[in-house]
Amino acid sequence: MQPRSRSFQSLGPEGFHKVAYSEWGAEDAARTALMVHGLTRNGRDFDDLAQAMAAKCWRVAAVDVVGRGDSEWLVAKEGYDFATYVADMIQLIARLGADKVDWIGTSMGGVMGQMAAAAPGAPVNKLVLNDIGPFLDKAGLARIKGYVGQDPSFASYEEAEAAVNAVTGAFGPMDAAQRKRFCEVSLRERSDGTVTLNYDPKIAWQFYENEPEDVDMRPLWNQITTPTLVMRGAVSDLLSSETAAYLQANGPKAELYEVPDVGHAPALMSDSEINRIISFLEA
Amino acid sequence: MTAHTDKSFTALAGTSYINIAYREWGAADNPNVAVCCHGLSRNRKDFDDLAAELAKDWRVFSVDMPGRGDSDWLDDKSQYGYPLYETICATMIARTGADKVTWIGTSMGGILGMRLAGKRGSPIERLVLNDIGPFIPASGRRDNQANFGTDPRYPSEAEAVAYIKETRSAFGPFSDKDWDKFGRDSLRQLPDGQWTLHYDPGLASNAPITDTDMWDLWPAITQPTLTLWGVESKLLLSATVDRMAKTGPMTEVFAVPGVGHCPGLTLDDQIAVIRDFIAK
Repeated sequence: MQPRSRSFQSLGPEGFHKVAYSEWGAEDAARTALMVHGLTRNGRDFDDLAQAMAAKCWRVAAVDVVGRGDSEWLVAKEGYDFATYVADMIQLIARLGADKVDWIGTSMGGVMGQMAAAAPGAPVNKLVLNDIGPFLDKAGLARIKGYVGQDPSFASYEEAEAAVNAVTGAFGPMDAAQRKRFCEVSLRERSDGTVTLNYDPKIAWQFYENEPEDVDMRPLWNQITTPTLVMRGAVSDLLSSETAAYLQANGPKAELYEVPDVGHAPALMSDSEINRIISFLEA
Repeated sequence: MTAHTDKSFTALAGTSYINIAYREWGAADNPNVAVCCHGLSRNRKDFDDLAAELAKDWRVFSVDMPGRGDSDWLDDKSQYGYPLYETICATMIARTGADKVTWIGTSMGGILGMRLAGKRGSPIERLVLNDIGPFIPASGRRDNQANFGTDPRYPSEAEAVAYIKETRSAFGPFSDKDWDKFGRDSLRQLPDGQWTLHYDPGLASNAPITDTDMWDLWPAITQPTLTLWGVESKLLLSATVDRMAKTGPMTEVFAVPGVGHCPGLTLDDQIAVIRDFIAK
């Protein structure tokens, strides 16, 4: 199955910008799911999960957040912030014709999901957070700062794949074919034939202007009433076991599913992860 | 009359959510889409006649801005304003599913059309302005807002409709039947049985009323533009219409003699000029 490549013009800090999304499943499906990727990733990370859900009762939109994948790049770096991202998602939910979506967010996409779900009347039915919670450890953020936004140029895809693998080793589990596709969607070719990463390096500006600090979103967490499942990489450096305990006891009192031997973040490509998500959403 | 459906979507107002009501006409698979947006104290129902006619060939949407009609009222009245309305309009355009839309705006709805059409990457491909332009004199604004936010109460619908006719006489020209519809569309009934206006009285602001100069918006608009002009309008002056026709998108102008602010979009000739313009 191949997704339909869709886009719309979203109003943001610089007028309208194109927001691209991959759409899977029947347009008149009973439920709609929105999948939102991590900081430097894009909607194609969700191909396996989206196909599995499209085979059930869902229409799925896997978005490329502005500055990533096939979405437009902003001119000024300051527009890359959560206010822009969440506003884009609410416009996208309207675009989908859905009153509510099941929101599946990895890392940054899960921060956005928490923000979107917290206020009364949110167009969010259920929330799945992938290796992200209401408290982000600065250790993980410092590690991300170590590679994000460097705008590298590689002479070949092979060289570029090696570089992607070097900084995303904690993603998993993935088989060889999944790992290969994960690399492919991470990259784009420049007009001069060199290969670079599939995002605007300016998205990282806040990492460069601020030292990594713990991010405490617990007040927001305690406003969320949406049923929530958290997928956690058992050796995650962004979502600690303390935070995992907190998020099960507070706010929406999330269900927790740990993926053994994986760091930040579970790839959501294995049958066990996919089945856990679908059974949570169907419950 | 072509059937319509009343629907709604969720939009972001700051960090809160509000429900936005809209009305939809025409076939869901028709790629030709027009979005209508009302004036300051009006609502989506003002476009019923126009939309029913256009819907023979078009898919038509008409949206209630926050605080009007069936859309939510804001708790924080200071949020009523163009930045929020622009977001609502953009979300409405996204909701249509179309990549490009024709924007039909009366008065405030036309200001929103001008603001959105000139933005980078705008999905608006054609603009219809009903008795509004880039300059509004303070005297016209004062006149237009004379009864705004007074929150009156009437024991019967008929008395309330009479009040609307008296205070909005520059609209039209309307038949008696049109006036009744216009009046009824302006009202809502309170739980105690009394009648009042459909909109949030908290929309009225205490800001001083000054000339509104939006000429900076005009050269940024490159879309084909049609302007309906109530020749007696106190908001759209003839000098403004002249400059609109000669600069920027060089609007076509359809003058409606004997009418002020603003043409009611119920008469055949007003509807026909819009239908012909958007078919080009």
